[in-house]
Amino acid sequence: MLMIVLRRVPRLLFVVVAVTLLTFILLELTPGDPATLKAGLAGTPEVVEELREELGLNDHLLVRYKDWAVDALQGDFGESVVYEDVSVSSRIRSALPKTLETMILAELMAFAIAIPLAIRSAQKPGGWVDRWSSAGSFGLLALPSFVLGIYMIFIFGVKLDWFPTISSDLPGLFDDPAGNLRGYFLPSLTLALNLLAVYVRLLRTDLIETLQQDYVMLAQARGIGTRRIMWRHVLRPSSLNTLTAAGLNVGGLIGGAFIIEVMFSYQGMGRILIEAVFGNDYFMVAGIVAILSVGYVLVNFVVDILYSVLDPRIRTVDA
Amino acid sequence: MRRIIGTWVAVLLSLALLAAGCGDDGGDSGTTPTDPPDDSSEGADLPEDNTGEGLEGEQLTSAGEGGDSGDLEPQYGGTLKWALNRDGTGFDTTGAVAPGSIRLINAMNDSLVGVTREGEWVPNLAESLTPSDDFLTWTITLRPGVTFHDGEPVDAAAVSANLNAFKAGPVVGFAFKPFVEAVAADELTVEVTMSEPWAAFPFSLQGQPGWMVSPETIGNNDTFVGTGPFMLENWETGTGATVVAYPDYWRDGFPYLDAIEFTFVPEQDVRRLAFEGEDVDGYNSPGDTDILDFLDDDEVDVWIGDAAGNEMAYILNTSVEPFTDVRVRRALAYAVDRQVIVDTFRSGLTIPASGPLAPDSRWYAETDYPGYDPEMAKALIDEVEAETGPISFEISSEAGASFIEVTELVMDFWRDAGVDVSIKDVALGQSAATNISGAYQAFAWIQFSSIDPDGDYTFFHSGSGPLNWSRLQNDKIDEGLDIGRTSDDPEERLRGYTLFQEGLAEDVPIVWIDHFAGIEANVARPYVHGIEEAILPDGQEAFAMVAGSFMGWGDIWIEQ
Amino acid sequence: MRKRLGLLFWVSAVYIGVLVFLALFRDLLPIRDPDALGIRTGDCRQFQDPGWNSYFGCDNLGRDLFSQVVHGVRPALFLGFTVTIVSGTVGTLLGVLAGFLRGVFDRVVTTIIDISLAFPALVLLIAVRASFGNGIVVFIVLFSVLGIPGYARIVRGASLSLSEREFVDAAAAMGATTWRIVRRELLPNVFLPVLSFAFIGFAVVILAEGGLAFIGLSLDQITWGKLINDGRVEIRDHPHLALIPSTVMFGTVLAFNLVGDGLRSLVAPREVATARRLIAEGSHQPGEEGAVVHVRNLRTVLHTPGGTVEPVDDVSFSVAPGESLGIVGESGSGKTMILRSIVGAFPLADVTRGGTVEVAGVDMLRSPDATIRRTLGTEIGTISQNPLTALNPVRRIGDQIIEPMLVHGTRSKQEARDRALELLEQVGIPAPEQRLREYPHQLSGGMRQRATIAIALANEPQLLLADEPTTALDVTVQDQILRLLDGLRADRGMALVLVTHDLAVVKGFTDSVAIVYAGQVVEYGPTAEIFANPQHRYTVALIRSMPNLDLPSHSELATIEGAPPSLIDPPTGCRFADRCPAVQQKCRDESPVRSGTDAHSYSCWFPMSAQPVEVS
Repeated sequence: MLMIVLRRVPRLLFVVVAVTLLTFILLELTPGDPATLKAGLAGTPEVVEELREELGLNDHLLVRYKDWAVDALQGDFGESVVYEDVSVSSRIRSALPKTLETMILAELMAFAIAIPLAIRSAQKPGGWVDRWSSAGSFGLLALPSFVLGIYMIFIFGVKLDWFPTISSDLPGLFDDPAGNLRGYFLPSLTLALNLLAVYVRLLRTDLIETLQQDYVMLAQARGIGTRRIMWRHVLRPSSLNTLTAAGLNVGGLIGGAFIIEVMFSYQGMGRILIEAVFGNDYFMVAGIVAILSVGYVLVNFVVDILYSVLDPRIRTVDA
Repeated sequence: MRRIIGTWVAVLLSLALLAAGCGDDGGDSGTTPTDPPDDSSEGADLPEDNTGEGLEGEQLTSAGEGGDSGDLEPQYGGTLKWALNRDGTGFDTTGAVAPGSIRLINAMNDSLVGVTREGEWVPNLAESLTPSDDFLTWTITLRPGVTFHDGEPVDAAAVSANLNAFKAGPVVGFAFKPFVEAVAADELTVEVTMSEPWAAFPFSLQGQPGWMVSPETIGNNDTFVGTGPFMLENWETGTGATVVAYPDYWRDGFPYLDAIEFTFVPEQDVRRLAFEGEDVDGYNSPGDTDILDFLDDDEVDVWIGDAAGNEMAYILNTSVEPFTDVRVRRALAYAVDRQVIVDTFRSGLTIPASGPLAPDSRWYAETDYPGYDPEMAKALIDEVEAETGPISFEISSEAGASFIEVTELVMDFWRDAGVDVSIKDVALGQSAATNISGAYQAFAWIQFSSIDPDGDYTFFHSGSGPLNWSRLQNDKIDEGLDIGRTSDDPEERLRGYTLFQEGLAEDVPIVWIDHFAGIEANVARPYVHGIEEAILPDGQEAFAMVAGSFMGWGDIWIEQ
Repeated sequence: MRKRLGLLFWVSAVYIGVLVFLALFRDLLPIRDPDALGIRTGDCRQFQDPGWNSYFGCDNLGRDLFSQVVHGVRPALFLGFTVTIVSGTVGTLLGVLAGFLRGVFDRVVTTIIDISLAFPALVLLIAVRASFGNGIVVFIVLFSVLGIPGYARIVRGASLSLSEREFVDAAAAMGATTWRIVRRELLPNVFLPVLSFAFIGFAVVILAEGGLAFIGLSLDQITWGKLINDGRVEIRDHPHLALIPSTVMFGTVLAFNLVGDGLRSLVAPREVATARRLIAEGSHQPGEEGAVVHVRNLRTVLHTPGGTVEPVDDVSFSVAPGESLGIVGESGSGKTMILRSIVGAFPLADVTRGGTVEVAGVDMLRSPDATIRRTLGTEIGTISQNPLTALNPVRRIGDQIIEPMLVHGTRSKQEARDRALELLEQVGIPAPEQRLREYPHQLSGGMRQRATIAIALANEPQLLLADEPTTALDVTVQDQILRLLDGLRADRGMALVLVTHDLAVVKGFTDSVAIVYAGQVVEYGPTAEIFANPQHRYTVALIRSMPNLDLPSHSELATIEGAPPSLIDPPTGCRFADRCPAVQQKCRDESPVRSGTDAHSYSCWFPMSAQPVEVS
């Protein structure tokens, strides 16, 4: 196992470097100059030039990248261009746990709902559970989270008053688990509903395919009950594609996270990223993308490990 | 991304307004372009006193039960939970301050100067301000024993440091054009010298230039160490901020509240839901339909400001085609039926505008600004097109701007007059650069909420360079503004500002739409009292809410 | 009964047709100009509710929502299609190459995938959009590029699993080129997951555009996403503005999927899953004392989407303890189905079984589920023909052996483990402790078959059903396995049913034999008797076709000409008629009845002993 880890590390590092460098390049190509933006109304050429010097914008791209990278490795991501005196890492530090918690909860919820649904659907294809969950998952797929979010807040937050309508200023998870989870419940659920539509479909297809395998029939021939067969024999080999989809989600989830964070009024990674990009907040973008890419790499690393846990045949493959 | 666009537009506006000092009380430089209303109902029930001419009134208006706090004794204690529509980007008083930050600063700041409901300036944090006869020198005396939140004394050295820092700020200093320097004459006396006579100087000190912070912290963006009733306990960017009562506040008896918890909720519907779900006690920037809904609701107080609000307008670049021709500009003004816009998008809550000053301003003057006359508009356009060929232009706008629906309607009116008009996408965050550089033909704008017209000097005077948005050179306007700036005689100033408004109405560098005051509102529960009050140190009343922002957080209290 | 394309399919197909029509001809339709401001033209009031004046109502400027939605069809379809096709194709190719070729290729592709997935798509979108505007080409390129890694990763994952699978190894062993393998083995198998993903991808593209509208980056034309986003602000008072385009989008996604499902069922009916139901007809006739398994008049009907099949028709036999029965027939004769019918294990399909199946005194067709399962687990052991697919690839050997014991409660955990070790030894697998913890793919074919046998023996069954247990193995191993089975039978007194197509096996190892042709037992009796005195001409032909090593090597192998009849629509009369050298008209007209003695029975009007059978 250690060997797998070690062999992976260089490539993972490469990915992080490539992604962050690409980000710098991309920001370079984007129209809009942070200095001009900062100068605003007083943006005479001299003022702008002064600001450019101050922000180090006149150095060559690679030099800037190198300086940034060196600092970043020591944990210093620089200061926000937009929010003067506020360090990038402090903003990330306050935003990251929120997004992380929402995403993890969302994935857990999605799987908790998707797995039983998919199993039931695969057991009785064409049955009413299958049909309703199929239609239901389409409905969820077709309903954008920003519409869903409003309804969730309205129904659960206002009418029923089970959950708070805004998820800012929540206690920490370990300080007050109940309060914390209550606050993150709605945003995570909204996110989960979009995820689960995909998972149910993928899992159902794979489950049905696995059900036609010889070893499943042999298990039936051994008098093993359907329930056990579905959960112990069939689920594992069928989960690979769904797991892939879950791993993929991390990157795309940031976009979805943004919408959720705006709807539920908390400042997570999605929001600070989008605002930073729009505001040409150079260092903010670079820092966030760096963290995100590390996160992505880690998640997919975990997914790869899970692949080989789920399907031992893959363990011998150097993937 | 409407909110984000709003932020950047607003940042610039904030600069704009505090630039020459706005006549507003309590620090809101009136830049607050509250979110332009984004929905409206069709001819929904209008409040009873609405005659289709917008809500007027001398007092703040509310249809809620708690409206009359006069009989009740204020109670001390409690934490107020308030939802704001956006955060700002920081508290550096020598830089651009976004409206979101201004709202927070209002709770933590006392400006040097205040403005009464009659529009007169009075000393606030300062004890007195005395000009020399030629208005080239101002002497400011300070009150003894006042301290900043960190305990440092509010003395002449501190005040001078603040003023000079503001002047030196690369981004805001130009707003202090006539200011030369401030010097501490003795411990509690500051001498300010001007390069030109500036009679209206004190008005500027009620805005950002007059925000005083502890000298060590001047330039700090992540905190505001001021003199106001509350101090900053914590600011989590983008999420919320908490301010707590300052125990050594220089005005005895205030504040009533222990603390205020601000949360930033960018989505208007969610703000309302948070309020209805009782997660907050009140919020700002409701939509026009929400206002109407709540006016009927006994459980809710709606506070609509009556002081100067922002105006919405289309700025035309008079230095480029086709707007070099005054006929085209006048035609565009004739072509728009402003009342339709007010009815469609504001639920009839606002008043059509003919200039930057609202009819209830003491400086208001009637003019011959073009009313709705589509035939006239068409005639003018035809006349010009006969000479020059087809007229077409673009309105520069960042994508997703929340006033795009108004623009679409306005474009429809203009097309009826015969011009060809479309929207030109401006890259997000680039409005400022575009406007300053003059690389536009027209753009939609929300600004001009100064109570005292001197606050708008920079944006109309031909000597202001790129900050004169429309680049118009008009003697009447210039003369009028200069009179207003250099005279302290109300009659003389009125004459000047009448000239100013007449100049604008004749030359039409700007097509006005409406005065926002009717929809710049705040919504609160009836147990929140004191909203309609903002008492100055000498007992006079200031405007309690300007352009949607509260001025006096110190006298707000909760019924327990 | 062929499953017809249902009503839903046709409704969806028509709906899609309508959409395509709208997309193409939207400018020619007699609908209002979607950009016309109704509040000025007077056509529509602001926020007018849906009604006769405007079917879907009007928005904040009185623009007709119906025509806006209609105009939104074209970008939705166009964007959805092009992006899905482009990213699906490129992604699949990349994924296949990476997963299948592995090595350097895989590393490069995977790294590229990782980089593109790690890069927050939104940053890319905003940056590109800022530079290149919001035309549809930009969107197509962007979304396609962003979609490729997803497909590539899914396909790569699937390819990795598949490339380990045996049929690919087998194909490679047979000398197929890489491309051929990819085309014939890999692509069809990744096709399904990709297709599933693609339908979802279609919906996601349309939605993503809406999400971008939320941020303010939408397309330069009217799109459903933009309509939904614009309508979102009004959701409290005028929900129709957001909900109607949402519903249209929902309906479209649903329609595409229903049509996709329908088409799939046409093209690959086997792939369409239906519920598995087991129905029992008729009544039970208890068998004679002493038989472990007693089958009488067994009839099995499969109702599949592809049609109705009767693989087993009036089959009868019994086996006493310690005896072995061989069931012989060609491929497709239904012999495997006989075993399946006994244990009731079928692929997803409706199955009807009639007649009697009794094992250890239990009615295997009509007893309660729990009883049947218990009998299956404790009295019957099953071995299938393909050792490579008989074991669950993701579970350890040990777990699979132990499981039947734990499930049926015959032993405690520790006992079960001990027994598993014992079993492994008994079936001749060396180093059993190690094997317990290993996975099937770590064992050779022969070992796997032995492991399967071990599993089958776990609960000491009275009956062992072996379906061609040696077909997939090489010759030396075959013999070992057969001897093993035979030995086990003798030692434990089990009844053994051995299904095979190889008469030599039957001759060597069975006490009695049933010859199966086209789903029917055409001859049944003691092995020695059958070989000495075959009555049915099919039996005769089979025996003759056995390779006789005593003959000179250049002698021709006798074969039986022709092919068995289809079981979907079996002919009347004797099913062997077309291939029988002694066929008469009577054979074609009437199905032969079972004749002969109880010990040696056959179904033929004109058996070899040349005594025409009289119907009594």
